[in-house]
Amino acid sequence: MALYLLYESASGYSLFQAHGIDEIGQNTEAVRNSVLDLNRFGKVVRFVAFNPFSSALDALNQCNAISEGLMTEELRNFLEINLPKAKEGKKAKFSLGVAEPKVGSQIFETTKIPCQSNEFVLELLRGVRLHFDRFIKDLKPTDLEKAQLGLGHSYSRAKVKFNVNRVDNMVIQAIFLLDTLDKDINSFSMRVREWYSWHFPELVKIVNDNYLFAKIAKFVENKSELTENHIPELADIVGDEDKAKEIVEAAKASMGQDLSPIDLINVQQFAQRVMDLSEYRKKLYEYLVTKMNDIAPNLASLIGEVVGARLISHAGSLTNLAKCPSSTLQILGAEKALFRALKTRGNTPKYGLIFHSSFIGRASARNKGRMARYLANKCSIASRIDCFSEANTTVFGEKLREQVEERLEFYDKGVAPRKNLDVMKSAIDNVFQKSLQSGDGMALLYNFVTFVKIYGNIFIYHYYFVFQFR
Amino acid sequence: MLVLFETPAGFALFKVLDEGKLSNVEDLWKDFATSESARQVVKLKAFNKFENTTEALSAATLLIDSKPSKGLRKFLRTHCDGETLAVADSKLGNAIKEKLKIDCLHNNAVMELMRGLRNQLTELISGLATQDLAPMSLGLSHSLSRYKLKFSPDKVDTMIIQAIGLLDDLDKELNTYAMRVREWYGWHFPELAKIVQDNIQYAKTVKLMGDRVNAADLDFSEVLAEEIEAELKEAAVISMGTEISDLDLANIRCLCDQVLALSEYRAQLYDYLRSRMNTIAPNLTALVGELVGARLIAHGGSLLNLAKQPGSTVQILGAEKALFRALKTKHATPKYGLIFHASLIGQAAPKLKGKISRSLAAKTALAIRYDALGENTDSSMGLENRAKLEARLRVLEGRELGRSAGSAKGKPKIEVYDKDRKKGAGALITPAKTYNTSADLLLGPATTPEQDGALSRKRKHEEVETESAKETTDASVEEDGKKEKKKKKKSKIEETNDNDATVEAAEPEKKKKKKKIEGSSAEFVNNDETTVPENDEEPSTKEKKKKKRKNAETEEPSVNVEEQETETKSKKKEKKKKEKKGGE
Repeated sequence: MALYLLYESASGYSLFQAHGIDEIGQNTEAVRNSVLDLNRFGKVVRFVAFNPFSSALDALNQCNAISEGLMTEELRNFLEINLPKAKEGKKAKFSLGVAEPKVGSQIFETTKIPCQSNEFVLELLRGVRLHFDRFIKDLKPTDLEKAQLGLGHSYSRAKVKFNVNRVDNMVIQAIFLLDTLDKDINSFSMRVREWYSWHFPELVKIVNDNYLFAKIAKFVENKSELTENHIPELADIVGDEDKAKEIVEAAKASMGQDLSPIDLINVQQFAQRVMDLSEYRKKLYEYLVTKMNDIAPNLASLIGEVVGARLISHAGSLTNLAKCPSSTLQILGAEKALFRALKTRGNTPKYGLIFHSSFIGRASARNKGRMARYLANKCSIASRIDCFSEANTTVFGEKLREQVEERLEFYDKGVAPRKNLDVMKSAIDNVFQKSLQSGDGMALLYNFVTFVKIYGNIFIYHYYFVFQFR
Repeated sequence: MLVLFETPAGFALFKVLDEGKLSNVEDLWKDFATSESARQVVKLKAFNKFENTTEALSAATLLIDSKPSKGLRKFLRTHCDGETLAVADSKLGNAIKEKLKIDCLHNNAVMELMRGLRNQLTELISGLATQDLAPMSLGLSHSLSRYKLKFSPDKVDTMIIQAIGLLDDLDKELNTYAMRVREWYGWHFPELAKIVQDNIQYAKTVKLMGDRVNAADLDFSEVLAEEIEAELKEAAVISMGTEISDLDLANIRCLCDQVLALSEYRAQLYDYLRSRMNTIAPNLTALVGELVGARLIAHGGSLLNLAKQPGSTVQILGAEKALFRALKTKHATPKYGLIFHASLIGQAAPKLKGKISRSLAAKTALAIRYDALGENTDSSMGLENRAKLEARLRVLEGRELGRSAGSAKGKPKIEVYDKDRKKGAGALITPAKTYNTSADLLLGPATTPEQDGALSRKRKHEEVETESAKETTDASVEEDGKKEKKKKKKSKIEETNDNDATVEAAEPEKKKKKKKIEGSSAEFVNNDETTVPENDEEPSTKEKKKKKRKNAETEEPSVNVEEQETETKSKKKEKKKKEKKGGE
């Protein structure tokens, strides 16, 4: 009785035949010893067929099917083509060794190929795995490794339900890039100012904005050619008729010197470059905002997209941020000051990155520390909701923001804020209402589970609502 | 009567209301003390405003040459007929008189009037406030002085300084952005970073490809080499990168666009810099290249500042920190600063880099001065110097041993100076040198002590005592008539001594050397003999020798001492060990 072996590699299915079983016997110990030596193993096991996967996506599908104990169409075809036909009604004269008993039973059910999966087969498969690259001639060993790596990564991503729209790395990259761009645009704009001022020094005082300056510099070019006729166009750019007139007047009595045409052309080109860069910055900012609303909607609505993104990038990822206690979040970005303070036993810093939120600026000097603490608490909650909740909602962020506003008012005027319990209740009501309206049962269930996790106490208090829903 | 008054904003024509006041020159200023009283004396008749700075400039330059401009003529023709015109410049008045047939007046009273007018100018001319006039006069004065200095916009070196600064900035930023693209896209396709090394190629590839799934169907032949393309396509199929959303991809592509645009702009800027350098400092560019030249100018502040630096400063420009550190710690000063990046120094072998850097810096300093202050605008001087430097480099490297760097350009060959020969003449102009036997080292008992004493004394006080020596030798001849052979020898010595004296008078340096030789020879002779006459030089040389010996002796013992010390130390150690052992 012939024994065939099905081996699923990362690059395709392959079939082997073990024809020297009798000599080895069913002794696993003996097999185990023979497996290591290719010379002996090669005599026992013979390569029959190989069916490579068409693409990485196909490989992932096959891998998923195997891991769930299903037989795919491709596998069935492969087996039927390469295995000898069993006669109708008769018991087949061979059996197929598979590593996974579940797959084996599935194969037997659908194709009537007798399968076996035992220690002996596993030992043989181990040998096949060890010598796989020797059996198949045109497969380079590095290829197999790469394929395994690629498949492994995509398989694990599929297992953890990876969502491409929620990759916080993108936000981290974007915020870094935004910082670099800000710095560059500023330095380039200063250079444009310096450069063009050689020709038209009066313009710097009239136009303060960097972007506008570059635009005007590009429009005006040679100041001696600027006449009254240009005022309407200039007014379009500046957005102010008076300023346009002022520019034309200044150009007439300017003390700047003439530039050679080649210099002027270069200045124009550079001004254009600066404008392009600022436009790209605007685009990138929009991207960051949409990205933040996908990844951390609550955090974004509480503290703003940029500060939120900075927090995420400083913590390394949203998950890392969610793991931080609020005290850590409060001084995130002020580590140097913190450790210096700890060393010298001075006062630890009150705030790090969250200082850039408008709330702290609005608090009076005495209450800045308190406000930072409170805000950090709320940010920490928001980041946890964002990280672990499945529902994409900004309700909590908005409610938390309201709370911070109320706290600010309390410090300022003494108006008592609402109780945390009430606010959270209304937030949860709000979320359920929304998911009821949208009729999304799954989202509702997810929300339910998540909120029990996060707000266990409140939720028990709130049980009546759940009953209502049922 | 009318008064013509020139302002930076335009020409003004005033009518004098009360001509009687002009007769009293001394008190005229009182009328211009306040604007009200001034208005009673003069009244603005017409004002011709300049259109812009260029018109003002042309009018002003003509006025300086005492010529009426076209605008002024037109202005006068329309507003001034049949009246006398008071002008501040008598030559201008003559010119107006000739061309326009207007009677012109110029005297002390007019000057005083002008002064008054200038005092109350803004009050008298309506619509010309101080804040308007100030920028006008500033602008005009700047342009006028630039015009007077024959200032050429083509020679503005600030642009070069700006451009080189920007070029450095751009390089840095371009790199930052390219690395950002790599990191960002690496999330999706990490293998690509290793496959495509060049930043620009990477950006182009990403822009073309987008999602890595597309890689298989695309043609990368415009961007990548064939084998790299094949590698890329292979890697794209089995990449382990994550999937990426379209929004992210669109943004990464935008960033790629920025990178490509920036690199394109960088290329433009580099072209610009090159063309500017070639117009502003052609010789400098020919010597060290555009980038190094521009960096030198930027470091010096301007071409003119740089022209004031000596070659040695140019050589280490940009290595100030190293220089001052070296000066402080008394180490070797740096050999090169910014100039190191010039191709000439790059060509030189490590040993010659310092030498070439020095010569290059010297030539560079010359070229800079020529560029900054010279009238010529071609790069012939720089090219010539570069060729010379290259020749020098070759000479230093020993490739061209036959030709010297200096004589490459048909310079007259400088002959070696020979004091004994006149230039061109074949014969010697000084008496022929004869063999100095006295300098010989004598072996065996050749001389008697007496003679030796006489000889040595002679050698002591050569020129002064030659005569006395003769006397003594004469005496000796009288005394010892038997020893004829030795007498002969002595006389020979005398002769040679005389000869020596004449030659030695011409060359004092040689004399000293000979003295030493003679002294030492005498000493040797004396050492051979048993009697030792007192000699001035002997003790000193002996002392030296003694010192040397002493040194040698002291050195040896010191070594010994050290050895002993080490020995004792080792012994001590052993002792200690023993003690320890004993203790144990």
